[in-house]
Amino acid sequence: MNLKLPLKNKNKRDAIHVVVIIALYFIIFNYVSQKDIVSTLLTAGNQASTFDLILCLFFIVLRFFTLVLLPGILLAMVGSLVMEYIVAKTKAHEKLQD
Amino acid sequence: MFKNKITLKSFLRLTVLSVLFLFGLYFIPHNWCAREAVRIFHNKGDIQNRMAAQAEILVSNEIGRENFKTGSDLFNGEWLFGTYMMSGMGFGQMAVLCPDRKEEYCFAMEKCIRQILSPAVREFDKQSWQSDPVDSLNSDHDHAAYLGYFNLLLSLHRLLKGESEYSELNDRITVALARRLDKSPVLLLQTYPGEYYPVDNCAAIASIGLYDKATGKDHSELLERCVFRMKNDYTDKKTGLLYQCIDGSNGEPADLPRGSGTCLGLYFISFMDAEFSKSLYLSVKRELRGGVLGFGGIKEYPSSCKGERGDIDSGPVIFGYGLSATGFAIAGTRIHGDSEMFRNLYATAYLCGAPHDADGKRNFVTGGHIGNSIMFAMMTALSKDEFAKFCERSGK
Repeated sequence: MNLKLPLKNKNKRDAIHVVVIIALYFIIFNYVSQKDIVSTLLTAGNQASTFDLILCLFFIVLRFFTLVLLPGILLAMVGSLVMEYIVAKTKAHEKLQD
Repeated sequence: MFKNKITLKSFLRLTVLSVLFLFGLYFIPHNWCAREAVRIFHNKGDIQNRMAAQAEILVSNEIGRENFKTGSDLFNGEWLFGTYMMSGMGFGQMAVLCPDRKEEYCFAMEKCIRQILSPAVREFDKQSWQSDPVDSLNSDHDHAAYLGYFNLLLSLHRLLKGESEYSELNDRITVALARRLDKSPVLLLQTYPGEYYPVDNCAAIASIGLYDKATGKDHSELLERCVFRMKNDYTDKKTGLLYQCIDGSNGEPADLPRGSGTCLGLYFISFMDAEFSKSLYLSVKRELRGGVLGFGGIKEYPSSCKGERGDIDSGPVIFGYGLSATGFAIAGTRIHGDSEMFRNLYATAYLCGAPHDADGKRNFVTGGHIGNSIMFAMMTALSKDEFAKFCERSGK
């Protein structure tokens, strides 16, 4: 049986979100490591500029999200795709039998 | 009644996806963050070399108090001193781990020693005591904040290199520290006037013990008395942890037993008394170890004590876990061969430190100068067997 499963728009959108988050994380990671601004925030706190402050907080949140939560989210996304594939395959199989 | 009925199929789907998410949450992040841990623990690969390369850049650049913004001039000065001291210890440990690059690392150690001797670095201690720590060795000003730590570095350098231009200074500081300890009614040196911290004294005592190893001199009687007092009076009987601060007038605790002081103290004391270091490490493991999702952490206060919030020693305390205690404990895991706990703590250090590798160097993005130098010293801490073998090989 040759079954082609078209990716749903929702899945495509989710995949794009993940890629954007990872890309954003690496861009900010490189930026903050070159400017050494996270350590400035952690040791200087109120003496950092508002932009640096926001960027650093965003970086820290993004790092925790990317390293801690994203693997589980990706696994659930892959699981969801596999389940959709199985359902579609079963339906197609049932149709063929009818 | 319900617009969207929960069918068995959708319930099953939700359950499967939740299980997958939790599986990913529990098994992937800490394993990913700890993927280099085994190599570092066994000193394989070049990660420690990359940290050394980063530290070499750091000590070659002119940095001053203005590079640290703790909000206190004294602490800025302490952190500047600590950056050179910890980097120096890291280089010394690398010289033992990589004997073929010993000369290079001893040279880097000497850079740190020269920086520590510069007036700018001595200033923080001079301001507190109203006397220079090195120029006042004949006086009764203890200067444990500067001399205790600095002499540990000098003694390690002497153990590695033998006689050098710094030997005479090492002799003079050791004599001064031993004399001041002997005179102290509580067998503790003052870090600053009227302030007694067991952790700083661990550095001072270890520096004398290491000096004896390097030179063959004998301060064993004094050291035994100091360690005995440290074990019996300055270690909490219930938890086995070092008190953070002692009241010098009566030798009674002036603060709670804490993780940051104990974890750093056990690292220092391992250079002269591996057994005492081990007993402190086991206490840390029993009383303070914790973590979440496979990421290890060390609490600042034992559960039997009602801890307060963090201070400059502990760093930020988040849900009871201390940043300094967790970082310093990494050395303890290496010294006492605890690969499992090293893995857990390394995962946390990786997650929170955000290491960035470029041009053969490793920079912990969130660490700054002091964080990078501490991580360098902790990640290269010598196991007690490695250190004993090294001493045996070099006939010390």
